[in-house]
Amino acid sequence: MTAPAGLSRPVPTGNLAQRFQQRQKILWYLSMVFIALVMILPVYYMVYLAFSELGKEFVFPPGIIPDPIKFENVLRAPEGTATPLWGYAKNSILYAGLGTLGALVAESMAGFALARMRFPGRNVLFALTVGMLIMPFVATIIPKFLLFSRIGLVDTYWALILPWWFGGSPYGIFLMRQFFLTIPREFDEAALIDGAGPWRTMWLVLMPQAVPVLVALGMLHFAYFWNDLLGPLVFCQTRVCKTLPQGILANYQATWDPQWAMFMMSTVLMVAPVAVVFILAQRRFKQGFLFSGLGGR
Amino acid sequence: MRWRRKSTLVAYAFLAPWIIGLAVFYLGPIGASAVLSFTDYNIISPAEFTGFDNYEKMITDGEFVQALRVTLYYTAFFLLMYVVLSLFVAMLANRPGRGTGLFRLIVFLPSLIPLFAAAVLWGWIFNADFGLINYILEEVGLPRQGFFQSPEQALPLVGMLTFWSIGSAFLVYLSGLQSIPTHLYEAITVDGASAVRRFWHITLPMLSPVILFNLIIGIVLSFQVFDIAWVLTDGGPANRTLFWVLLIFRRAFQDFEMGYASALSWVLFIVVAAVTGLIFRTSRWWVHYEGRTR
Amino acid sequence: MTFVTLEDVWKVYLDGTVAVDSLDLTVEEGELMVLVGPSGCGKSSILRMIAGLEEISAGSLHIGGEMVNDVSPDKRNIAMVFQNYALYPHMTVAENMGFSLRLQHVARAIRNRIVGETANVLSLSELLGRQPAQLSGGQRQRVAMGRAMVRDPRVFLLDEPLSNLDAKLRTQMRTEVRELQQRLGSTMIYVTHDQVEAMTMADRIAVLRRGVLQQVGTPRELYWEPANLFVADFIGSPAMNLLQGRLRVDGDRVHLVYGEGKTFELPSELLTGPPRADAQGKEVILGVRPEHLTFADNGSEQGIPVKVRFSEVLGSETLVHVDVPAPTVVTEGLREIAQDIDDTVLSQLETAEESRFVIKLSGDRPIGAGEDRHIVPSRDSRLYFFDPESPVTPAWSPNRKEDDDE
Repeated sequence: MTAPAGLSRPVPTGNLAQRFQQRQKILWYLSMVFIALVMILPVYYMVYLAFSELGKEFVFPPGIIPDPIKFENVLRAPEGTATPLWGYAKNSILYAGLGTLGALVAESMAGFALARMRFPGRNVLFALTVGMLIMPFVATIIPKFLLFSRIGLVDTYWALILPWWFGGSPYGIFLMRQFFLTIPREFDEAALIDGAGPWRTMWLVLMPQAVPVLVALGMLHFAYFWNDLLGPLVFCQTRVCKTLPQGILANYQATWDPQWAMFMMSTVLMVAPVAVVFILAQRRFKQGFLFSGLGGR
Repeated sequence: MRWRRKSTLVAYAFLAPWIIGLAVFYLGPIGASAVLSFTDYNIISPAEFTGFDNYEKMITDGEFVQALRVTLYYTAFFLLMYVVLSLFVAMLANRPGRGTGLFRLIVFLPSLIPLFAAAVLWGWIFNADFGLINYILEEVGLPRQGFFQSPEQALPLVGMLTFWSIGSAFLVYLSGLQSIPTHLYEAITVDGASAVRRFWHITLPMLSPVILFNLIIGIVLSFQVFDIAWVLTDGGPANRTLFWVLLIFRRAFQDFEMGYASALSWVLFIVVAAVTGLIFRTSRWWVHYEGRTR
Repeated sequence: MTFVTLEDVWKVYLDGTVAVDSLDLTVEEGELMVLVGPSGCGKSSILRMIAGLEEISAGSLHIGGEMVNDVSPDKRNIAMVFQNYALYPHMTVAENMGFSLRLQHVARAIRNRIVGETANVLSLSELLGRQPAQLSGGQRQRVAMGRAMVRDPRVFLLDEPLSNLDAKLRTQMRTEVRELQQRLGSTMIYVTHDQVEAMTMADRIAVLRRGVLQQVGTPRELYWEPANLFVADFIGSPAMNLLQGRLRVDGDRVHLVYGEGKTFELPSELLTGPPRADAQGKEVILGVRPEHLTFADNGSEQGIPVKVRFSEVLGSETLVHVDVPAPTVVTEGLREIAQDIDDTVLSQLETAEESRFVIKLSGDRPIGAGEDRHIVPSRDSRLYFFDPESPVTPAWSPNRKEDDDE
């Protein structure tokens, strides 16, 4: 390419990888804009419906924003069409909160042992853990249901939470192991000389360094529990432990004529906190790490 | 040494929760469901050993064959979106330029919407009688479509909608792309390679471990699809969206045929294990590991 | 008083590799002992065994008279400074330094006082509230020292503590560590691969090769009396010049026949006495340090003929690189350097007709490239003779010492 005649000022230039032609650039922007529009459309429409007036959600042609905008939906939706959502929300918070917490602790402990300790059976255990990555949740759900109903845990939170306290997920264990492997062993050795055993080494020296990974993994867990439908559907069939997805669906199905605005607002309210935390924490994610470890072996 | 001999015990103490969990919630259940699959069990009366009856029944069960077909069809669709298209989107987002940050956020955002809610929303947008899409079609003078009510359209539509759930695969690809050293591209560009060649010779090989990861996760996810059928189509119309897991759920928790449902889920496990195993087997031919050590 | 004693200590790894081979070593109280050697010589394994980070495969380790083979690292009363410092990134400097005290449940007030005093000694007081990421390399190094000092250990173990610093800072920290050690009178075991570091800091140096101890001694002993070719080649910079040849004895005169039948008469004033009977015809490697060679006057035919290749002027001294008409003596050190570049470099070295000598002249005295000159050992120099068969055969002398019995 030749510079336009008469151009004498130095032009800031990027490196080779950043340089691509004008025509390509336009094409690239157009594709991005197109995909972004396609992606955002359902999200936007959901929010649109959430702020619509009950019974007037589907006015054709739809405007760019709902007319009229019903901000009071924010307050009305949680009251529910049939049952208030607060109880469900409490269950969801318990399920997602305690599940995430327990899973993180158990996964860190297992990951730490697999990464840092030498003991007979380690390789077998690690192979089993990786193998469990592909175990479909449903494949075990029937025996689990039978077990929990036998010991009376069905229709309590424990049926949902307990499995996560015992080791969390294979994915989490794998991830924590990979992370601990990236921390130089000298930290453990320095801590050992300073007088810390494995327990204190893990909690006082390694875990503080794992915070970004714990945040990322914790959010993955939380979002999974928060949105999970099949688990609660199988293990929680009574009001005392039903979760938000069940509650929102129950309200939606409670009336002959679905109250769309309320349903959508409930969903938006359910997603909003998770989305906000995701967006805020995005910067702290060690995404590069989250998946890079997987290529290494 | 004394303080070292203790360490095996300590290691197992750290692993105790997971070992218990592995036994009670993974290996135990998968074993138990293998045993149950040879019985007739409805929870109320004791299980009765029936040999291979459940498996024989499966072969002749039209619903199972249908569920298998539907699930495989869906998997193909889902993998196309989750593994192939998401790579394309990630490559778009990997270019330096204004607005890519926002673009990344927008691509990921729909993945945060719970599937059941997305299902309701899509159900409305594609509603045959008063949905948004049919309204637009009518306005521009095209014929209305049946969408979820149409046996021909329901499953492809469900498959297409998975485009909105590529968020996590997208993020994985993005981090993979960002870890490819720039100097590789610079070298091949200096050698005069076109964009297509750069993709084939640098991007694809360097990204192959990440592609493998997304492929495996994609398969495990797609075989477990449930929410959208449960909320939206209830397996219909004409069982055209009868997913495997929906069938298991119905047999187990509506008909209480625990034995048969166990056989179904055990076969599901075998199929997923076999497919992923096969992919791992072939991966040595196409997955390129940089600096393979350790 | 002997403080650390290793007796017949072995380190054998699970795959059968012998990292440390029957090591006997003692470290005196208040002494700075440097373990030095090329990579893979076992020096780090030794240090880690003393620290308790590696199991001792066989033999016994005593610290302060107590057998500590089976004592856990934190009970050995040692402190270690790591190559990468291993400063806990989420803790401040003060927290890093006080961590061991915190683990021992020392009261906060006492902890703060000890950390404060140590920080004073190391002029770290201003930095106590910072995190490691906010410190420069030299500061991190000092914090790592401080963390070790806070424990008031009986022995300091330092594993290449200066290798992550740039050259200038390294020189400065070298003296700083040495002064600190002398001021505190502490016992230190210091591992490095850098012989200059070893020579400048150590009270005594232990040179290791492939897990076997080659020589222990003061820097001067190692310089003047290297036990074998390996030590001679390893200690000194630039490395000792080596010339392989055969000895010819004519009465009291000893010649070295090298290259294509060239002879070099060894200056009699540098020989310690009349030649030994078995010197005649013996194959040897002659070693002369660069600073012990000088150029004969222009036109002189005495000494070894060389062609000058280039001169490195360092100001206070000049290094003149010359080619000697004899095959290169490829020592282990040279082999390693050559292989690092390329295998072809190594084969070139092995087949070359000429070998490279370096002559160190004091002052600014470059010699023009391409000049043909002769080199001779200077008056106060020393000649060494080694066995070409193995680098670990003890150094040899073609002469009877004057006080030797016949």
